[in-house]
Amino acid sequence: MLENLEDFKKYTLLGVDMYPGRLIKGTLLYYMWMAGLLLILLMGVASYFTQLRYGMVITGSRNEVSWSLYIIDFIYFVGLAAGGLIVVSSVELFGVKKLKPLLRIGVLQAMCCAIVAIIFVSTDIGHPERFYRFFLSPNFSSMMFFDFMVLGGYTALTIVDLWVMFGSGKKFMYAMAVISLPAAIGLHTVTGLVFGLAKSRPSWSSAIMGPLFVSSAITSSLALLILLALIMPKFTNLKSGSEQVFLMRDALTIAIPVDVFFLFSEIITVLWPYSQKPEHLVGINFILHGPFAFSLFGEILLASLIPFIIILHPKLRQSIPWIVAASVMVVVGVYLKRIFIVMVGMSISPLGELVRYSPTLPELMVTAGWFSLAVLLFTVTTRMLDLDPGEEH
Amino acid sequence: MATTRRIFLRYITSGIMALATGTGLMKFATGETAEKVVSKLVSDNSTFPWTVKKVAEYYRDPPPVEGVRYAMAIDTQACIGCRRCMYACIKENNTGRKSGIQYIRLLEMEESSFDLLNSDPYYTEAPQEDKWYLPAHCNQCEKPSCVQACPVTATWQEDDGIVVVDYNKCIGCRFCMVNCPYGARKFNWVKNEVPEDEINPDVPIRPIGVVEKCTFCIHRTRKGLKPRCEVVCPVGARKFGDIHDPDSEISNMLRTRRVTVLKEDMGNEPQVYYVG
Repeated sequence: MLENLEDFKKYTLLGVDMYPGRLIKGTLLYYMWMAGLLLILLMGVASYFTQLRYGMVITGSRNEVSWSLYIIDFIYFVGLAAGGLIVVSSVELFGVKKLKPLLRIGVLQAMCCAIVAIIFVSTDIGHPERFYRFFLSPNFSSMMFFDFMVLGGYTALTIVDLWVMFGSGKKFMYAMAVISLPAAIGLHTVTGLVFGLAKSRPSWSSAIMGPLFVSSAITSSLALLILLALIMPKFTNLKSGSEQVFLMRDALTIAIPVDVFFLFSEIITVLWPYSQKPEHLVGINFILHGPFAFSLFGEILLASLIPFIIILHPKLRQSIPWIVAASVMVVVGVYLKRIFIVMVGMSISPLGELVRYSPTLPELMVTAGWFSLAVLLFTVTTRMLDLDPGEEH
Repeated sequence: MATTRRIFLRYITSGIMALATGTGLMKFATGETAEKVVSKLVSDNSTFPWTVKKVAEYYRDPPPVEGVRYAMAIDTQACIGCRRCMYACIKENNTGRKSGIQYIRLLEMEESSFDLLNSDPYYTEAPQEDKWYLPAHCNQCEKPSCVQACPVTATWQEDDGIVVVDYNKCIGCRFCMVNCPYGARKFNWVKNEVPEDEINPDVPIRPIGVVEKCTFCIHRTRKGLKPRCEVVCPVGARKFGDIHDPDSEISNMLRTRRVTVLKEDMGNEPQVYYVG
């Protein structure tokens, strides 16, 4: 059910061709999809207004668990934002020409996820309207300050990338690739350091946090890009298929074991008999025997073990349905991993009190709303823009 | 042409429907319209009696005395775990009665153990023979990691060592809470509600969504008074004073008694000393 882009009026902004007409004309499925997304988004917005009205008490967080669901979502979306720029740099820097069809959709994925990551972290702060304070009185010893700056810079970079990929900035492709790769690695490292430098939270205070955030960002965003590369050709003029998917599967074959290795390094330090420290053990025991056990076990199975077996198996790795299954598992599994990372650090307050946290309904509604916003943004941008770069690239 | 008009009409209708649903949902969620919500948000801020300038002035009036470094010593052998300091602290500092904020936490510790992981803040009977009690609050560290962690410099250390928060600058990201090794920082999850006749006019009422903490009763100690927790302690377990003054009670105590601090290995150089 593909409508031709030529049927719609073309508007050009900075060399970017846009077809806004495609937003209002579509199949019944498209209308239902948009209506569903908008409804969930509205519910999220309504819940967010409740939060502005009554304060953050409507979330499950308290003084003993100061960070929770919103931060989990924030680091998840930061991770998902990695994929696009990795594709750009692999095409331009490492000469993987076969991935070219994915250049445009990769940038859109990165942009939508980065924007929603900013929204999530702004939702978590008590006074979002005081955002200007970051510029008025910055504190250069705070990793949180750098995280906000890098995240803002990265989002700006993806928007510039949008112009480079879709518009009149094609000659800057190589320069963008050179900037993008360190920017992506920097963003995930800094986000990891927000946790890794917190010495008062023993389970977070670890040198592995930076590398671990980079590796899980790469696995989750690659898996998401595999799914998009298979789904989007059905709805848009994107020309990707098994060729690109197999390439990204091979990348996952390297990324997943690296990710597992980093987590393994951390967990063996926590659990090995003469390496154990009481404050570490409390955290890991809370996870193993507490309400968040599913996050660790689910992460090990879904984000690491099962997908890894699938993409190593000589028969299964050639089958698109199995690769799809593995990618879905990674995308879900990395979310569980984010739950694990945040909750293991928050599991015990600095004065030794075990947390009692479960997300509340308004909190979940806001989360669902912003998730739906990410999908909505992606749907709108992919519908409005021409995803086929043509032969010139 | 007709097709375009139909599409346009469909577009308008769905827009109106979305708007109606949105307003309805907002009503459902908050019990009021969006306009009212926004106007209330604005008026909530205006009831806060301290403007930006005033909070900065608050910590300068009276200013820190030159050469003074405040600290506190707590005699854990004397402490009976009665929690009088906790309750007095809440009243003294205009802490919201429904905020669930306690600057002071009293931990019931196991005999012959300094393990915070085995402590219990929810004990119901005290004192007990086989337990001891540890009052924990902000340690006014010499190297405060909360101050280093604040992304917008909304918290700082005064010259006399007291770590304070500017409630009009705090963005409420709670990164200081994550980085404090003593769990001393508290967030205003709800609107701060203090009964009118119990308001202490010397202490600002914190707005919703900012972090607050123990200030060593800055409004009292800067005037030479003792902090409220020391005043109400029935057993005299707390001693507040200037450690730079060699003749002060606390300097004498630190010289003559064996003292320890919480989590010395964190390297924050906390200034609440535990005696006994």
